[in-house]
Amino acid sequence: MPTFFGRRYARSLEQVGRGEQVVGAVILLLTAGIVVAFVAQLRSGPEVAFEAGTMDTRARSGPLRLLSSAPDGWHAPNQIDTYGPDELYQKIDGRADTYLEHGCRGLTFGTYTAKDNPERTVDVYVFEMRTPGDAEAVYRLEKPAEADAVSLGTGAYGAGSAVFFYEQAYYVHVLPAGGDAAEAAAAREIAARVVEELRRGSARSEAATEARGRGVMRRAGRGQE
Amino acid sequence: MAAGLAGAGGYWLRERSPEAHDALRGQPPSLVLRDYFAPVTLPPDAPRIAVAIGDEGQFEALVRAALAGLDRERGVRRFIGPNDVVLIKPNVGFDRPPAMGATTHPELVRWLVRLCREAGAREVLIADYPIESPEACFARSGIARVAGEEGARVVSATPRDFAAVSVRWALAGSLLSGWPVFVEPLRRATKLIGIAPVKDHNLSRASITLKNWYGLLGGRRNQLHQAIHEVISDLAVLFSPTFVIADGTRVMLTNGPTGGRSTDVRPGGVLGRSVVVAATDPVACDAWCYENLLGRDPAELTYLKLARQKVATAAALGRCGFGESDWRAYNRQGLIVTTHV
Repeated sequence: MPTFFGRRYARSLEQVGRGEQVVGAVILLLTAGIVVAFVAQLRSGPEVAFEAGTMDTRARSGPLRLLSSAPDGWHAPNQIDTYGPDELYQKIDGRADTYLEHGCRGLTFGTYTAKDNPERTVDVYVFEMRTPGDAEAVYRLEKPAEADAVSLGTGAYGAGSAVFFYEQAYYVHVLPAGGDAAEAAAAREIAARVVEELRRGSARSEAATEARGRGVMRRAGRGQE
Repeated sequence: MAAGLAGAGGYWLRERSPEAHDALRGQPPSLVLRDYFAPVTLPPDAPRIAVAIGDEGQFEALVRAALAGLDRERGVRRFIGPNDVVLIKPNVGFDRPPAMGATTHPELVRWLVRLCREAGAREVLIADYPIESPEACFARSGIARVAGEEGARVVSATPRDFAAVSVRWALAGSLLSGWPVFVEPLRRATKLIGIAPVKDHNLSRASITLKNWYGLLGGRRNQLHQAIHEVISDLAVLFSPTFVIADGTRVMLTNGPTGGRSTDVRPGGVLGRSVVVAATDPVACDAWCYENLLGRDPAELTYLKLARQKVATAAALGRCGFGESDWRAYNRQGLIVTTHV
């Protein structure tokens, strides 16, 4: 009987003892089980990391483009995290239910960093809601009564140095780490750029965040400026 | 050999899955958490709640005053002694900077670590299990940096550090019975201190010292949201800390527990000044903070009512500690002290 490396067994299959057959079968089953578990683990992994451009899937390139443009003196996020409805709690545990009740389909998150000080940051949360009405509803739910209106998107306000707005079916938080004037100005500028990208369809033209689920995207090289 | 390598690889990946400890669920609880309050001997008239009120930035003075208030004679030395291994459990649940008030202020953690050291603690551990990237949360909160500067050790969680625990004291039917808990640092510690920001919470209405223990639960804990008040009240019995501290330096009054707006946060909440509250009765501490910092009526807070009942049941069965959701009862007995720093 032919085998690996052209060797031949000295015995025919009928001559293999029952014990050897059982051991062989167990080894084959174990190997198959390990392979199945390995594949299942890889498929169910909580994060999918990839370089922009290395996977030509429109669903994944959208968030990178959405948060690609940074003001002078700032780096755009070099990592974008996406969360589907089932993973939203991982980012905003305790608050996720409110968003889900308003039809949240997912979240895209990234952090802009000041070139002169990496501790100065601006976080951007882009919540993709089911409809523009849902985006407006959750925006109004969270809006403080005394908030200062800002001319941005369909509706916007400032709270300290942070900016909150909705545009189409998106509700967006732009949150500087601190409260100084430079960060506040950067937050306004970043918010304006995100509005621009949303109007260009950077997010809408791609598959929904919901379909992307939990993912981590990294730009090849430093973020755009 | 290939099968062996594949097996080893699969095991390695599986061990690193954040949900790996879900497998613990349903197993018989094998561990009973220690009662960290039991070794403390308090005089009967010792304050249960000590409130320190000051200005923004007075972190050292606020922590010292609050802890001195719990024991005028010995301060923190009443609770922490030589050779203690102290576990500090802050709220590091979000990847947000300190100013947003979603996490415990790092400077309070700094001074708590120092006071534990001054009292002779052999080692100070800091642990939390954020659902988000723990590294990012500890870094952004400033607590990783403070821990490094003060010689405390941040204990990172791996799936092997979780175990199903027994919810003692006749709390049969608790959702937490058999739930995976980040036990490794608890096993090592001889004293346990919870230090939590005071926050509005979308589901439970408040996140203070009792909800803080939620951060040591593993598994898909968002599933517990369906019965949030039951779960938080169970935490009042499951965890028996040496003492707790409520961080009222930035109280999140709205849009909790994440916040994000400067208008969501105010020093001392409705009190309007920075506050640090130390307490040996976590239930009363939450009640005090709910009324005096969040400006709401504790009688309407379901988890407090449940916690009071459960702690009373546990006490009747021999557990140490208190569980007074009516902080005014302590006030009438002179068991609340307030210090202006």
